[in-house]
Amino acid sequence: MGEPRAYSPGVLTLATRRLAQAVPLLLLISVLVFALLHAAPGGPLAIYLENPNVRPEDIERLKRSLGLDRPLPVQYLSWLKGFVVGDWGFSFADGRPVLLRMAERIPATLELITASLVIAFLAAVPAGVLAAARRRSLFDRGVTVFTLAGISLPTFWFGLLLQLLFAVSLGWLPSSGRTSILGGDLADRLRHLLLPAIVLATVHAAVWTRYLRSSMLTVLAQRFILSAHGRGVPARQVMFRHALGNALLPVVTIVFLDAAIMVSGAVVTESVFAWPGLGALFTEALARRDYSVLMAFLMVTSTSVIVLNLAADLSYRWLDPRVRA
Amino acid sequence: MSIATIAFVGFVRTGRRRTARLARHASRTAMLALALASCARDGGSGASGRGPSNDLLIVAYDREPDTLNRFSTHILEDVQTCIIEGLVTTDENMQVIPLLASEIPTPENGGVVMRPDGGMDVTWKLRPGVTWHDGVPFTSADVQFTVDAINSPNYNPESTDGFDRIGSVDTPDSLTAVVHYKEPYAPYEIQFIRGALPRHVLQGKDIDAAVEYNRNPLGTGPYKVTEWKTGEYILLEKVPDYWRGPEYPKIARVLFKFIPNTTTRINQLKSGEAHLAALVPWDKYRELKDVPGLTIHQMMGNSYEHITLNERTVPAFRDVRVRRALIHAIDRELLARTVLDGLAPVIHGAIQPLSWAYTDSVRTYPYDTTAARALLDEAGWRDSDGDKVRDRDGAPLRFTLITQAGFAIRENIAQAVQRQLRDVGVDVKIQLVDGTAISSLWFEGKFDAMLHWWHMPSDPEITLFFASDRTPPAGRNINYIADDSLDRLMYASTARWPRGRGVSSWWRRSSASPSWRRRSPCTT
Repeated sequence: MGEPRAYSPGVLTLATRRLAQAVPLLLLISVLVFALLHAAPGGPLAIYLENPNVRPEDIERLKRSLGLDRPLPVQYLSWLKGFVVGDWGFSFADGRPVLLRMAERIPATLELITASLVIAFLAAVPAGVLAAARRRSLFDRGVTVFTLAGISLPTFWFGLLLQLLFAVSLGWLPSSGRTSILGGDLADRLRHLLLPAIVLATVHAAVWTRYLRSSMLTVLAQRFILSAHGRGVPARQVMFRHALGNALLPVVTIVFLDAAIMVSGAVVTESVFAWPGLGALFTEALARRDYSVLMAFLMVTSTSVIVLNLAADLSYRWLDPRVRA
Repeated sequence: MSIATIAFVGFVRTGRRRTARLARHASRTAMLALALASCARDGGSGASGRGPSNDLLIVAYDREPDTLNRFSTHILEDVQTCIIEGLVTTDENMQVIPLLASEIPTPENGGVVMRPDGGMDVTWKLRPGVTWHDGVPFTSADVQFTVDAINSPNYNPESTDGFDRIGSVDTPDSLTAVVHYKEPYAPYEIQFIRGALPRHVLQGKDIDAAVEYNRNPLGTGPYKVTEWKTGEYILLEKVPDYWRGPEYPKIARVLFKFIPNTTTRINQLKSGEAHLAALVPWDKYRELKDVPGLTIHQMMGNSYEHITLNERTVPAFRDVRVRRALIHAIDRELLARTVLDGLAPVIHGAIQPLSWAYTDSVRTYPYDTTAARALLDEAGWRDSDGDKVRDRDGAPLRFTLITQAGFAIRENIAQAVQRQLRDVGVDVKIQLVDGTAISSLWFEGKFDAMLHWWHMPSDPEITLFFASDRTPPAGRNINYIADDSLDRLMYASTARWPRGRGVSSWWRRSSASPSWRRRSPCTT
């Protein structure tokens, strides 16, 4: 009689269960976020107070028209009801549907995040692998210095520094924006993308490099690596085929989690580089206390964190046969 | 007696409102439009690589407009005024001048008539030959439609101020609009400064939801919207048959880029990617003044920086001796010379030199710490416990000064004020608050003292800021000052009609009187 096998649910079951668990979590997040936003001083109409021609009766009229005169629980329930059925309301700032405002910003953010992930991955993998392979060498120490700097550099400051160097001093790249006037070709888009993508990628590349170096050192010390060397497998093949495949496993989780964090990290980068994505929209909406846009943004980012966490778990099952078993 | 306000400096920036008439003076944009303007350097730039020219002017703006409907927002009127013109506008000296109207209605030219029933009729004569950008003539029917739309419950403009006093509008012919006010309305001249809504486009539509119009409005101005790329820029292009003639506007295209980060806007100037930058803080002046190829234009604005003292939350501020002591204790000339790099003059009241109502015949309060200490002693505030903070009846002379976070100049001034007041025994705590929150705090009166600015209306109606019945929410008297004699003087000015000429002479007479000088809002 064989050993009883541990219960391992299927992918679909796992995904369904995790998504079902996410519903009350998102509900709780929505209540907290709604309460916090309304607790902050100011509101969508605060900006009108700058205009001396706007009178109290105008403010009251605008409040009524926007539904801000209703009790907060009523406002929340009204928002929740709409949100669930896909009616995310209208922006308090420009009156356009929130879904539209979000949709027109998502491509820019996805573009920036994708480019940053690619840059960070391309930088972290060789750096992490080589640093582990040449442990305590000059290269390893150099990587350590650069990764520490990458983790420590404030995004805001680093972005402005790159602007000064590449846009102002050298004149090689545009300082901000997504395209030149009236569109621009692929090369123009890439030139605009490069600086913000590097800035957003830097901290993640540094973190991943540290993780990968550490993971590689653990794997390289295992017996199957010695065995591979003993069988006469070329060193490069041992390093990249045998060691890297195993060392990447813990890094994958970090990559997925960081992808979710990048959405919020992009707030600063998009602001510095006037990148027209979700992060910039969040900054604008926060300054205007545009509640409907803020709620939508925070719910989308919360959902993306949950979904990417799930994706990390599922990717483990795909990458590691032991988990599948 | 004095107003509970410490005025610092007249603003040298034009802000975002009516003072910036970029459209009307496209040929002089660099001089008029923005605070610290510049010309791009020649040669290499990462993005445009071109300096300013009559083909394209690139303006770096701090934010994106919500809408281009001028009645729905006051924000970023620089963009709107390129497209939509008012019946009148204001010149560099805040004088109202006709634009789409052929003349300003006055009692002398028969344009303003008081009715026996107490109402007032204003007849606007429109300039002939003006068309909307689609070729449809601009007529009095558009003026009538605008009034009806704004007073309609189906539209929510930012403000209905003045329009709600209009009973009806008659249009005896296509170039004449007779506006029937229910009562005398002194600022009638600027009633249509934001222009008119095109009847043939918006009639029967929900204007709040008319996204197509609100993002690409039909106007009579020199430019139309060619492209609005959300989050990036608005590109305006000159209309081919502008009513002022083919020589206008001088610049073919104007591009407004949205760059919220101040340093990035400045980097755009330095790299030549932008030719003008809006809202460049004063503390960047030193950084920019020596950059080759950049030209900084300075111009007087209709705004002033000051500290508002809230008499409601700090009882000590109700004592005029304390208020006078505070202003004597602050070396405003030194602050203007150092923190502000001498860019702005010290002013002594709310009405700025740009205004027709300005006068320099007011009492001033120079820096004099001896006088400050004497006034505080006289008011009973002495340091009885040796802690270097004055006190009275066991309560220290202490208050919190709030100002906007991230506004370096204000943060620096607040620290200097804190230091200078400490020298005379007044303890100040500084609190930095974000821009949106600060609007809410002042509106609710939840502060002790606030370092901020007021942008004054083109019509200097100061009751809004200082009359005892204009405390929030009814107005902006956030000093919460209540002085009957001051109220009488201020309301006498608003009751005089028409404004401008009549009031101006009255104002000057009043200003010369000792009582007015003593209570003038131009003193502290």
